[in-house]
Amino acid sequence: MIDIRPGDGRAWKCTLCYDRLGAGMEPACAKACPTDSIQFGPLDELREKAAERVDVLQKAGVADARLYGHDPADGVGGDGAFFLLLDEPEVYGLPPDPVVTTRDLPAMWKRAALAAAGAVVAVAAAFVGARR
Amino acid sequence: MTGGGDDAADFRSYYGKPVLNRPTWKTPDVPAYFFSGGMAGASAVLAEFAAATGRPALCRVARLGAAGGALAGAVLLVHDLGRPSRFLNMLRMVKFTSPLSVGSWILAPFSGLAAVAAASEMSGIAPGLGRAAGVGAAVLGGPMTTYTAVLISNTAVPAWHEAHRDLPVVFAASAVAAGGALGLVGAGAPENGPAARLAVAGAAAELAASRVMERKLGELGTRYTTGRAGRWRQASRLLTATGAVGALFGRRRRAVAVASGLAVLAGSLATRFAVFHAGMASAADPRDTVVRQRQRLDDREHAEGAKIG
Repeated sequence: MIDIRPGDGRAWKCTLCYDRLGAGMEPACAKACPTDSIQFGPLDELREKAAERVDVLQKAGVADARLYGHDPADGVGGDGAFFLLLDEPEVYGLPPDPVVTTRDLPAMWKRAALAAAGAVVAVAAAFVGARR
Repeated sequence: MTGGGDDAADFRSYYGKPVLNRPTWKTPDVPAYFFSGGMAGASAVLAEFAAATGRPALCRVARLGAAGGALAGAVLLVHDLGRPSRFLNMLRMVKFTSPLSVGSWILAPFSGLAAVAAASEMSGIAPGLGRAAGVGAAVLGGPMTTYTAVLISNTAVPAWHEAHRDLPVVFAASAVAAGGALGLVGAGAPENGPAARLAVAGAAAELAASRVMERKLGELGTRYTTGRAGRWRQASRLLTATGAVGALFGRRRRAVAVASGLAVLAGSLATRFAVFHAGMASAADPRDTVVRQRQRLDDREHAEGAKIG
C-alpha cells in the first residue's frame, strides 16, 4: 500500500501502472529509473536474471549480495516485486523474515469464537440464582 | 527475544525508520468503535436473559444499549472509512480471510436487529417481532464482542499480532464488563443484580486477561505498559477496579450503582485506547518487527548449518 489520500481518506495501492500496461508500456517507475535498477517483466525471467547478477557480484567480491523476496517458498509466498540487496534486509527497512498474518487466522477465529462463547456463558451465569 | 542482552546491540534498521506503515486508523474513531461494538454485543445478550427472567427495566436499558452502541459503532466506522458507501461496498461479498469482511457481516445484521428490538421496546409496536429481533441480535452479540480483536490481530503490528491468542479474551471481558455496567447505570435496585454481577466478573476478567497478555508478550508487553498506552492502561485499571468494588457492594444504592457503572464503562473504553496505542507504538518502532524475525532467521540458519556440518 502506498498511503491514504488526505483529501478523501481513500487508501491507494500500487497497481504496477495498470493503465500503462494495458497500452503496452512498462510501469512509470521502471521507465523513469535512470540506472535501470527497477526492471519489469515476467517474474520467472526476472528471477533468472537476478540470480545471474548475484553470481556475478559475488564472484567480483561482493560477498553480501543476496536476493530478497524472490523465493515463492518464503513466509509470504514470494513478493511480486523482489530486490537485490547488498546487506541484511533490515538495513534497507525491510522485514528480515516476514510471514503472512493470515497464517494464524484460523487460530484467531477459534480463539475469538471461544471468547465469544465465554462472554455469553458469563452473561447467563450472572442470572443464575440472582437475588432481587 | 529470549532475553539475549546482545539483541539490542545487534539490532539494525534503516536509520531507525519504521519497517511498517503506520496504521491509518483514526483515533478516537477506531478505539471508540471497539468499545461501543463490544458494549452493544454484551448488552444484546443481557437484554434477552433479562427478558426471559422477567426483568423488564433491565431488558429495556440493555436493548437501548445494544442499538445505541451498534449505531454509534457504525457511525464511527463510517467516519473512519470516510464515506458511507464504502461500508456498503464491504457487504458485496463475504471473505473469510478478511476479518473486516466477516466483521461487516456481523455488524450490519446486528445493528439492524438491535435497532428493530429497541424501536419495538420503546414504541410498544409489534412486541413479537421485537422479541424475535432481540433474540437474533443476542445470537450475534457474542461475535460482536470479539471480532474486532481478530481485526487488529490480523495485522503485521507485532504488539497486536503476537497477542492474537489473548486479545479476544481481553475484548470479550471488556465488553461483558461494559454491558453489565450499562445495566447497572440504567436499571434500579430490584432488577440490577445480574448486571452488577456481570460488571464485577467482567471487570475482574478484563484486569486479569490484560495482565496475562502483557506477561506472555514478554518484551513486547512494554508497549502496553509504557507511553500513551501505559497511561490509558493505568486509567483503565483504576476505573475498572474502583467501579467493580462499587458494583460489588453498592448496587442497591442508586448513586453508588450509577457511579460504579460509569467507572467500569470508562475503564472498558480506556482498555480499548490502551490496546490501540500499544499497536501504534509497536508499528512505529522497527525493533519490534526486526529483532524477533532476525532471531527466528538466525535460529533457522543455525539449525541448517548444524545439519550440514
